[in-house]
Amino acid sequence: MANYIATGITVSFGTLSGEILDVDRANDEVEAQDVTHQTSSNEWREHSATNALKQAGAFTLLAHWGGTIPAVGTTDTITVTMPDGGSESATAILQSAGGFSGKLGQKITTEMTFLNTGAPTHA
Amino acid sequence: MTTLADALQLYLSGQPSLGAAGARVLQDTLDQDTPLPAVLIRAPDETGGHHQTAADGLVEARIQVDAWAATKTDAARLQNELRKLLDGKPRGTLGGSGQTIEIEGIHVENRYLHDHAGDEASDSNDFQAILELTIWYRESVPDL
Repeated sequence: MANYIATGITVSFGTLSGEILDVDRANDEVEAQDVTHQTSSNEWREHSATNALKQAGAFTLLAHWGGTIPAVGTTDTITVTMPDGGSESATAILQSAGGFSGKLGQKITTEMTFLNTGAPTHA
Repeated sequence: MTTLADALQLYLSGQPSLGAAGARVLQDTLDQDTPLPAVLIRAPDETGGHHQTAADGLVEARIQVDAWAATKTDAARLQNELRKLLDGKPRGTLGGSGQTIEIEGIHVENRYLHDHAGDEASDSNDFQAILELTIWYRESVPDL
């Protein structure tokens, strides 16, 4: 087993630059189908993932306000490099960006979400 | 290197609204024979910020500024003048005489009065009006 502290994570996506705080990636999901039928045993539902569509989990970043953020709708490759040197990349659309949070006496932050399109790559 | 206390001392020193205390803005300790009124700046408690790949160069400091005077009224008045010079001060430069720091803002967080006449451990009858401040300021980011 290994464990890591979330410091030193880097993210690249087009012209994105700035001071990144939190990096979150949602789980990949599969649209498993309910294939329960009259004779399913013991009254338990059955599901099948055969040929089911999959959605790669979105990336969400929290950053200090003041960096450079590409326009929403930009499609590019997002690559997240983890503290151990491993990486996660995917073609992604910058789906949500441009807002900010300016709470009194706290650092101003901005959040952005990247919608994956196609399969992600783990390296 | 200019410290926060240095910059604050330079900013407050000679402020006309502080009257005679403007000539006695000190750091850390007040000597027994220091004439009053006077202003004492205590050593700050400071926390630096970070992002994923470095320090972010922004410090959140908690610092105490005391107004000392011979009477309760004078201590309260001096504290109020200090408050008017500091509370809500926005982003800008703090300091003087070539010794400055860049601040992001100042908030007065707490204020109270300490009457030393009732303090058995002290032989002073003077009054100490305390301001506790949060000051956000910029510092250099280590080049690692």
